[in-house]
Amino acid sequence: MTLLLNFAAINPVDRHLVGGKALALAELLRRGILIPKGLCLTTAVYRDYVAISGLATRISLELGRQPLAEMRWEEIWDIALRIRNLFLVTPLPEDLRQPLLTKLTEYFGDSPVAVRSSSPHEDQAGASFAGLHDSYVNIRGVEAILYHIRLVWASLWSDGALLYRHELKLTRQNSAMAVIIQELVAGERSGVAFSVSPSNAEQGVVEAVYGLNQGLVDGTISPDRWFLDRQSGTILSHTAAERGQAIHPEEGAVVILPLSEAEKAAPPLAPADLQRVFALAMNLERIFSGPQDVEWTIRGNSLYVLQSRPITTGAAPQEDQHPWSAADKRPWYLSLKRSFANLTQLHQRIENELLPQMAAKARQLAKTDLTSLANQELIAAIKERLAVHHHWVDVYWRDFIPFAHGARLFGQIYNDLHQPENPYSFTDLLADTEMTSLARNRDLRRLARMIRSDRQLRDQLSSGETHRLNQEFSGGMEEFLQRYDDLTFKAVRFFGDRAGLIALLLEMAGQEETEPVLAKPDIHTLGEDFVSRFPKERQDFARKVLAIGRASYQLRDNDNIVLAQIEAQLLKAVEEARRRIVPGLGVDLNRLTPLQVMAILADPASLPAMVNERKTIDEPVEGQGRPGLTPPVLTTTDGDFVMRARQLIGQPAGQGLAVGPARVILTVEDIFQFKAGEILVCDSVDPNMTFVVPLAAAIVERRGGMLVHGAIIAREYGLPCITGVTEATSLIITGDHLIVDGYLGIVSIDRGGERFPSG
Amino acid sequence: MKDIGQFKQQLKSLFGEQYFAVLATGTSDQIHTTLVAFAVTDDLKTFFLCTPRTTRKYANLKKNPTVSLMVHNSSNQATDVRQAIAVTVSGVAKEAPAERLATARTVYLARQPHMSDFAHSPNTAIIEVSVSRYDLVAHFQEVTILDIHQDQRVSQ
Repeated sequence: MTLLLNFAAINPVDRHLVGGKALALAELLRRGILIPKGLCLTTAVYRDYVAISGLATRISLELGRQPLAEMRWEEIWDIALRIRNLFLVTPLPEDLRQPLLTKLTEYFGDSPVAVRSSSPHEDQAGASFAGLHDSYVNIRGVEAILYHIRLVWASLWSDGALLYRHELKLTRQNSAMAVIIQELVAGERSGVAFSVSPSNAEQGVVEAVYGLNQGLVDGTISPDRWFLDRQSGTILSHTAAERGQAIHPEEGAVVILPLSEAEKAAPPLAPADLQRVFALAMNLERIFSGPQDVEWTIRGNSLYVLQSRPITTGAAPQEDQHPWSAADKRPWYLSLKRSFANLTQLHQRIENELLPQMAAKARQLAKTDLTSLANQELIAAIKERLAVHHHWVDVYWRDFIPFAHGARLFGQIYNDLHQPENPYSFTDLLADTEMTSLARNRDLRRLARMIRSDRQLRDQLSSGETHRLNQEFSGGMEEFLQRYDDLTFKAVRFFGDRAGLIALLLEMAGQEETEPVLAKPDIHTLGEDFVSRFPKERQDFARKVLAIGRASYQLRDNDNIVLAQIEAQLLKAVEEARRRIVPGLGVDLNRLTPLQVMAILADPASLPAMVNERKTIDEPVEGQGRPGLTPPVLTTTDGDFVMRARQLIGQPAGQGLAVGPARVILTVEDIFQFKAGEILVCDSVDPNMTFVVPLAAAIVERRGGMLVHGAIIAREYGLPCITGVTEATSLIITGDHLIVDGYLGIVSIDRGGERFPSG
Repeated sequence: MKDIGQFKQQLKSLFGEQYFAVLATGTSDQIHTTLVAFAVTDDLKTFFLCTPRTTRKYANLKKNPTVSLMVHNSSNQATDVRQAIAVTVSGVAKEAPAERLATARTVYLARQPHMSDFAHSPNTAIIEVSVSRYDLVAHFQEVTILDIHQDQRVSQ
């Protein structure tokens, strides 16, 4: 078996053995173009490794768990995380390790190298994606190289690769990954060049930064950019960057360092170098017979090609469309993986600007006395609130969602460091962050406690009496309602009707108080342990990554709650408008959209034209709100045949076993009817509804993922939890007897009592 | 989960691929399993299989017509645990009566043409299993049930 190949020994027929990137480098070498010296580890080594170690079977088992097509990105990310962890904890068999150790030591010694993916299916012309597999720079020492080879192999199954599995022809049986190991050229200036500009076929583009080009590629460092005429090479325009920092190799990692004053003042490329880089890109276009996207670096006077690949043809989303609402959301999912630097900036912006601004806006809107407005003023208020809500929903998608995935960055860094058996143990370091919803749940428990300890009060409330209640309780209720007046669920305000709240409190009072049971590890100690495992000079970075992980974990809760406050202000104005519309129009006013309510308030005669018109575009509250899924409608009968689910599977997200009746949450009323010991079955555990969790025996959630809210809170209370049960809310009905196996992720439904006794 | 149309199609595909099923018959004190070649009607309501009348399974099903069949596409790989599907068929078995014998044999031999001698042998009984329910297991533990309503079934 050929373990390693010199670039000079690679032939065009070797694509299956060396991958696209190595093939291109070999071609460049043949043409006399300067590339960093290196070797290619063939796909045969990958195949041997996964076969001998048994990983091949384990990967198949991971991939076969549930159909990938039915999974959300978060679940695909979870699979990628688990597969990555398998690679982390599976060492190379000695028969492979020994010869590689010898050869790599001979060739590279202690020089720093780059370890890069080279997949046989990536980088082929017409591919609409790039960067699905991982590469690592500034790796020093053969043990570190071998470790990073496993990480690159793991990225054959990255979330991005799994999303583009059809295009990559990714299958467990056929796919393999080659790895390029090249000496690191510590470039003084680096960048990318497009022989054809994506925006103008007559032009080419060169981008350049000081230092390594890693910062440019991941968006951390903005580059100087030149547009050039393809024919003449004439510079058509130059956009200077706000130059401040550069990425440099340091101690087995890369660091961001400030630029000198001289560097800040001058573009990274002088005119002659710019022409060299552009001429190189044009030359590569001729060599590879098509427009090229070239990564280059300059050290001293030498211009190196790091990689050259066909320009990707990913369709840009339409101008009026956000990437998160495009038909193909995969580019959006890929964009959710942010760099450390990007997350740091986002963290600052969210904590210091966006969340306070959003909360202030909600408070400001809440001050308006809607009942005192004339109809025209009320219409103007709804319009304003629609716009405000729309704005914050956009911010939610653009900034909050990507930041909420910062916990994943932390998880990856943690797993790389600890190589734990359980790839989710990193969440132990994130738990115990103070979430707004936990404070609200404490307030509810306090009210329930008052009822529990006061028989008279309980009797009064049970019989529907609302006056002459004990003063402490009524005061507490008023305070609670004032504080949480703005809670919403599926565009309905929770406490618009107090009876529901009282029913819930009575149910809570009927139970022994449940506290979160998780034996909380001392997260301070865990955090310190995490940081101390980094070398001294990297501990500051470790601290910051941990802080981002914790902040992002917490944000998953708090942003939803503040956005709900904005939503509530819109709903209140719409409710006020509905109240003013003369009854008897023969239509359910509650089903009208905000825009329709406004139109009818302005002109009641406009009703007939719009009764059947429900444009989601006009419904920011219902259609454009926080992410949710619509339950699929399944046909389950056909003549004599009736289909039903007996066991559903999902991801085991909270360990334990529970038995009980299902309560499927579709509306606010379902939440208030929740009885202790029931199993909470829902689309997703909205942070606004977590107060029923202490009553639940288990949670079954349609949205998948180990880091979704339901999973987090279930672990907090020690409840069995299964997420990603695709048809949970359509195949389970309230009252079904369920067994929830949180160890294996299996929900058994016993509708006829045929298999296990009830109770 | 698929809708019922897709689900039935999945069953038909499996029965179209597989020639053999494991048949379980039982008396009150012992369950007995055997490998049998089978055919199924297009409406998925009836399975056909053949057995000499001198076999234990024949004796069993004469005493207790309640039977179960298992059809699966496992290929003896470790990964089958997630990738294979298995269907348990529950039903009531009886020897095909004279008026349906020709049809039963035709359906059976269309699927198992190499069994012609066996199917025509005087000692061979053609058994029809009237299906009441299918349990399909996919992805290791995902179980979907297809009930066929007894009262609406074609009377035997």
